[in-house]
Amino acid sequence: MIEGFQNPGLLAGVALAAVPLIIHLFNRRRFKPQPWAAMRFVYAAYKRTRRRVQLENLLLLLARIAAVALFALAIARPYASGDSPLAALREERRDLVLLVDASASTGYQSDVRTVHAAIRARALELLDDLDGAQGDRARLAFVGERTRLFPWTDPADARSILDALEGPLDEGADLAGALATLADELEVEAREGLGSALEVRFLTDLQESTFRANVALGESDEDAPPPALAEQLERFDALGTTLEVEDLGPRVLRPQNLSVAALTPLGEDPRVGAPFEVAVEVTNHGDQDVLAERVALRVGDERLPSQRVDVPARGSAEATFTVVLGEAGRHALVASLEGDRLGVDDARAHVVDAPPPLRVLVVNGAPAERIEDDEVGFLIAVLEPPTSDSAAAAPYAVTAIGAAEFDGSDAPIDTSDLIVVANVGTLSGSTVERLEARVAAGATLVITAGDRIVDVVRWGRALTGDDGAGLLPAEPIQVVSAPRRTSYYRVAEFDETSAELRYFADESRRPLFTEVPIYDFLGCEPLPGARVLASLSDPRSSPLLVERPFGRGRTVLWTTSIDRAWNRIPDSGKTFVPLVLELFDAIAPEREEPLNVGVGSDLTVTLADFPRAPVLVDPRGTPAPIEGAPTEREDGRWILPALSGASLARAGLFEVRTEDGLRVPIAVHLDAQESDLARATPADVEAIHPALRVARAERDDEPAAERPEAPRSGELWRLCAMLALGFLVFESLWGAYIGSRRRNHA
Amino acid sequence: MPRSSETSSRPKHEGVLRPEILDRLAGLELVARRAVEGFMAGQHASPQRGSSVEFAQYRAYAPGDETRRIDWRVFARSERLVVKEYVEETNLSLNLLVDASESMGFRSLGWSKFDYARWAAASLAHLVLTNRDTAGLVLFDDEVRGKVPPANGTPQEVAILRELEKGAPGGGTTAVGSVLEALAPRLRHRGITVVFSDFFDDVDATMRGVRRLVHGGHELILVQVLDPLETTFDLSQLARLEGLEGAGRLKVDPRALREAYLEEQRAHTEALKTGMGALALDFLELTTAEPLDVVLSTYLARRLARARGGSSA
Repeated sequence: MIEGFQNPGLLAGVALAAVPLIIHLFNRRRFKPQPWAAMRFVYAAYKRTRRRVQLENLLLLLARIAAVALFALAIARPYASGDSPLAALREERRDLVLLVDASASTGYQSDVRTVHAAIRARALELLDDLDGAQGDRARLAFVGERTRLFPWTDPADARSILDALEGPLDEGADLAGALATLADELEVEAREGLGSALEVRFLTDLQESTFRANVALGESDEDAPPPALAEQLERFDALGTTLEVEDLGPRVLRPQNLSVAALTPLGEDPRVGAPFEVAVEVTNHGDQDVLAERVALRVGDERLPSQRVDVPARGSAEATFTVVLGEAGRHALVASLEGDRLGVDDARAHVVDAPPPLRVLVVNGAPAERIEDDEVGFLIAVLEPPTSDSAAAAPYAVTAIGAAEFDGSDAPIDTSDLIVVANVGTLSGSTVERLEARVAAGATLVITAGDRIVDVVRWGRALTGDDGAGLLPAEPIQVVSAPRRTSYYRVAEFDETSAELRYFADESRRPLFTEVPIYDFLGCEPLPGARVLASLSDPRSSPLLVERPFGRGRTVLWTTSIDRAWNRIPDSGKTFVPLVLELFDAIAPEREEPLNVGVGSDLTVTLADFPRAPVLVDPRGTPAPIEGAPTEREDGRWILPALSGASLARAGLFEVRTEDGLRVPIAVHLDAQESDLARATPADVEAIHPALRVARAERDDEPAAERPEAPRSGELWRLCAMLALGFLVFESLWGAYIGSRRRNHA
Repeated sequence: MPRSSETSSRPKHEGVLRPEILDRLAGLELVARRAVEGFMAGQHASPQRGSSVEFAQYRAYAPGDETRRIDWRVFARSERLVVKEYVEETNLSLNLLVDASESMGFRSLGWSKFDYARWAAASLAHLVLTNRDTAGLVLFDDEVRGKVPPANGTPQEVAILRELEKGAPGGGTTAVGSVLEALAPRLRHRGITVVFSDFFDDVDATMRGVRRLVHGGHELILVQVLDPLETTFDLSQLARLEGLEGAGRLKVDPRALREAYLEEQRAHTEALKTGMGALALDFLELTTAEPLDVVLSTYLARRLARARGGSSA
């Protein structure tokens, strides 16, 4: 009959069925004594009506008892098996949760169709088995890096939801995350008493990486924390549910697949006109060597000559391309293979940024005819070396002006990224204000000392301000000089980890920096927030190189000269050249990072000019407006509204376009792990947890295996509730009829 | 006549002769007189032929007849000896039989059925005796409990009222039939016999007693006095009925029982009414909630009208 109850604790409510009986018995004690003369009529009437009245009252009482008992039974939610005599009265509702593996690997062309198509077909078949008229429900979840869990729907709506999944997602499959999300929901439903017998199926290609952290591939480590998937399956087990895994993947355990695993620019950052190499790593995930695979690289709209590589089984090969960028800006590189059964990983994009030359303004405080005597002669020589490659753009665009010109309003302060103020004795207030504004907006200011700075304190106050919050990172005190014939100072300590001086951290290079004589320097006291990068060997360990942030930019103080007047550093090319280049490279204003992100990552795009009507064009060429207003940054650049991960859900090359013709490429990468189509064995998967069972779904060309009958809830609560309601209605009508009849005869 | 003087002239038996009833009856002097007349009109001529003034019939002379009763005029015309017979007119003789069984003590109002019955009996006795007729009283349950032999005059009224005052529903059961049978040979003065009772007795037994009295030359009027609760059975909640006259106890749901009870009660009354109708006797149903003066005067007026051949409405 009844096999059990979903809420057995509530079965105690059946005891409430005794309440009508108790009330009935209690009422029998409430007879009011009444003397009566005409007892002969009473007896006669009683004799005539006793059986009928007793029957009427008994029916009323039984109806009440039955109503209460059935309500209590309904709340306890009884269920019956198929062979029960009550089977015909069971509620034949099915609750099916379909976890659809939507990872990129399911795009594999297994035979005549992709694994994804097989999964879809199987999902539709399972949904077709449901009967919405009987109350069957389905809940879909697309399993990717994040889980798209849909609410309970009837089978027709579930089919519509499935139609919305046009193809595989360019993501991996986080099965543990999906199960965690689902278990959260199911636990809430169970707590609220809404849970029912569930059928949870995971339609997947059984890719090993989906189960990797949980597959017992080697010796188990008993000290290791329990795998996440097993934890979630434990929760399913607690809910009395198992996870039926249907393997719809290829037949072989390790399907053949080639992928572009990486696309990497080699060497220094690309510069306009300067050739640089790009390495394309091709990985063979199969068990067979691949010979002469053609690898192509496209730079923007230009396709480079393809190369052929031999890729060993379960190995990688690299093709190297030489790329020259004709103009500054972000450039998209797309490497591609000839194409195989899994197309999504046969191409990979990467964005490189060829920045425009850094605009350097050099203010010469002590010009001279001869380069050896000029304050900035050696510096400019380093920044703008003579080159034979006319096509290659120099990394620095140097503008040199004199001190007097620097104080003029035409001085190109506002258009410079890096400003070097070398041995300038006086600075007007307006110039200092312009400098502060520019540095605060992101530029870098380098100040070097020299003999033109006569009134050290006044010079320092002009740059540090009264509160010490000005441009200078250290407060100048006095010029310190050593007797040149007998002694000198040298670098005593420096920050070997800093990007500016890391070059000299190597033992072979250290003397190049620490053994060069320094005769004169500007004694300083570092101000709060300043960082001393190098200090001298004088008793006070005075700073040689000190820097401090200022707004979005920063200032750097070199406390000696950059000509030969106060030290011998400019004389030593092995010291001066790397020092300048490393220092300038490190202190140059930060460049915008090239736009390379993983699938589904959020991204903020910064543009040089105001973006008019920006749109995001996906790899298929479909544009979508970017909603929201751009915001202007302090340095005059514009920030687009953040692009959500959902809008970057495809691997490939996206592009931000504006009405002004601006094009900004964005490379969205597929997780390389997804290309490895190695499949787990059912035994390995089932070893993860007993609540996990693997079933091999039959194919069209295979005889249909006999499938066990889908579990049905078999609940009877609705029947009980309806019967209870029926008894209540009967009780009301019957009571009303009896009352009416008795009143009418009053 | 001022009401005060009339009231003061009555015997002081207000326990049974309720002043308000007598006041109403006195106030309605015409009604009272007609009520009495109603009784008179209902009386039967004496079956004893005698020498009173009202001629009844001729019959042939038989030896032993008084010669003075021979109608000589008829002899002169027809030479036949016939004797003139006259209807004997006697005073009204009213026998009041009041049931004093335990069941008559039932009350749902401020007075019992017995109270109501004795008020009615006292009223009729007063009316009859005021008209210089004779009246007697019998209190009974399953046997005779008190008796005032028929007589006339104010002392008789005092005696009847005293007996009614003294009477009370006792522990006896209702046995109208057997009491009537027992009384039949003892009621020497033929006349009108009015029985006040609830008649919670076997109908056949009652009717046997009635027939016995009727055969004895009595005119019988049965007045059934019931409490209104007995006619409606309007009990609002579950009741444990404790039967009077040792009828036991019974727990009942009045709503469930009402229909059948009322049918039983009506059937019993109908049987009495039918039995009495067959003997051309009056059967009067009263409930203690009805105003006694109105009921009595209405009945007597109807009886008078019937005797005169008018409408009984």
